[in-house]
Amino acid sequence: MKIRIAALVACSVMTLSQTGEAQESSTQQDTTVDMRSILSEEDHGGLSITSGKTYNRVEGLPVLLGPTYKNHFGSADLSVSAFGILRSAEAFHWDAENIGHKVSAELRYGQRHGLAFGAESFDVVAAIEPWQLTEPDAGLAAFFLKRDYFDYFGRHGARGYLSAFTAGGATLTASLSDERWSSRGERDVITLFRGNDDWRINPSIDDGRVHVADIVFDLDTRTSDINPWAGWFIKADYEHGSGDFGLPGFSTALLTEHRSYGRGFLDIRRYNRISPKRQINGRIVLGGWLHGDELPLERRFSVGGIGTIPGFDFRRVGVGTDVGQCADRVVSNGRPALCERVALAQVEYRHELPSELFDVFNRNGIRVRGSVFRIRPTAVVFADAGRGWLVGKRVGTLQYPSSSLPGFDSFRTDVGAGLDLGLFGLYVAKAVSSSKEPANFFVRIRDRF
Amino acid sequence: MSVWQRSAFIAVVLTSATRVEAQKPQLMLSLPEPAMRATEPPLVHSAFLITDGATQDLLRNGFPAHLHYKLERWNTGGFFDDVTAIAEWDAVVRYDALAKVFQVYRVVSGRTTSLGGFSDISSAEAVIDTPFPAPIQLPKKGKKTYYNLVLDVESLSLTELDEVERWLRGELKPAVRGKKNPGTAVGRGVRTVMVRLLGGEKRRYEARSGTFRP
Repeated sequence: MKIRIAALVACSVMTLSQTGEAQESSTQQDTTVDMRSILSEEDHGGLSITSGKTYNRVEGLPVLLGPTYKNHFGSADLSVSAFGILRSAEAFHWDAENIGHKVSAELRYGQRHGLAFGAESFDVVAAIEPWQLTEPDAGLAAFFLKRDYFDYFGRHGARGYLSAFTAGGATLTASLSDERWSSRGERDVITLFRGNDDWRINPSIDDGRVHVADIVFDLDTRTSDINPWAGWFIKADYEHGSGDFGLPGFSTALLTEHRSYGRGFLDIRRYNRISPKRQINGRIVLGGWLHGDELPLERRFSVGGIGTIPGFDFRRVGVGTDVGQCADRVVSNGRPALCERVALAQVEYRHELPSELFDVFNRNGIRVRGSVFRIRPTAVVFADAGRGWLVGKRVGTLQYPSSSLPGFDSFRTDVGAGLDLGLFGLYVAKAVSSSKEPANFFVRIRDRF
Repeated sequence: MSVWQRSAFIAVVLTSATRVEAQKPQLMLSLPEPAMRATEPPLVHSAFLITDGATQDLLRNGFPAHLHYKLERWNTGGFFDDVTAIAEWDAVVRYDALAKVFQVYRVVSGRTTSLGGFSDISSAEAVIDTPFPAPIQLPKKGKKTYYNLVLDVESLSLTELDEVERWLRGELKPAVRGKKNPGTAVGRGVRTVMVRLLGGEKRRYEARSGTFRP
């Protein structure tokens, strides 16, 4: 970094000496400084520290520290990083659960379209259903309110991948990995409020060693990834897993069961601008078992809660068939996601409001540690519908044959409204399919989807 | 308090309020005359983008400020509006500590133009703020159109490590020496984490033109 700046300074001094005094009025083509060098491409890396952008009841705040390196060789870009992970749970206690690593190397050919291949080794904590909620929402809910809307499991192994990408925002990735999946318990993690409350139990998963083959198609044509006005976001994933899983109550090494499964996941979102200030957005999520043995617990699904159908409480099992988590008998500790298939549809209408009412806040912006946030009010009206189910011989309204779908009258539905202020949004949602459910108020940091 | 004192107090308050209002960062987009809208691009102008305390402090400490402009041209008329053209360009301001000048560059379509070196940041700001004809493909006659401009301002190379260094230097070290409240120092560290989670390392401004038919 210092060398880079020194070189730039030297170049600039040469420029100034050639042109005499600083040019205050004229503009000219600069031939000595390649601007792209300042715009990061010549940054070859160094020692990096990052928060991991998450906060949860298993890790607390994971801190990643280690060297990174990146460079170009012709039309190829190489990036290498080797992070050690230290987690803040139990006051950064040095133990096996609090340390991990993430080492990766990627070679990328082409700028607008091309190929990339890479390999990584990891010992990380992963969320079971990351598609439900964006990370700032989940992390801040955990940090402030001791509410953790994800379940987690340990992933330790290695992965290799090959991907092709296009200028239109499409990427196709095929990967192979060998991983050990393990249950992780909730730990002593500091929160700002409700410090005396207990965390929701982080459910046990099916521990085992598994080989995963994965094909993922991503398409992202959104005008922005944070507040998109138009475009598509599509994620389609087929995963084939095969491995030995421990039987409940036994150590993996003593008694195991071999399982081989196929799992699909599809998340389609469309953002439509219908006038300079209004938009209608829609999302459909389909996921579940495709073939083979039962899905392990860490690859199952659920709906309900602020990320999916906010009119229904997160992981609350009500009276009647549980179409949220698919708990068919006794409610397990931590109320894990047990559904083998899930369907969710979300639609929302957004209307940007005049911001003059909030000018008193916007005059200087809302400042936190030198960063400025401004209020941009948008009214939001939304509706959601979804449910999960098990696959097999028809049993009531919980289990359906693989070739059939539950009737729409069994879906959980809700409607709601909110005011998105840009920095955060305040919402209220009311269940429609279950009139006895009270209305839920909630806060989101990012858009709902 | 006498009438004169009250008047003076109100005058001071109003003056300072006006000054605060005047120094609010602004991003504006102005359309050419109606007859010229199919032949001339819109002008992008701004005010007080890099002269706020945090950016100025970072610039003087060697972190260049990166301004990324993204202008979209939208067509309206059908059920959904469509993006029909996009133009992106950058401006970079950095402080040359050796020459003690702020250097300003603009990058359009991969071509770098030096806009000059300036001994004070206000002059650099003035160059950034000068109306600039956006390098965007112009709309066809008769199409109902509007422009949407997004500007992201961030400090280059400002990693979490830099943030931690700044925190250690500015908050924690004086606290350890007993010159500042350690609780405040830790609290600010927590707020730093929050800002990172909220994506506050980047400031975003948006401007939109009215709808017109060239």
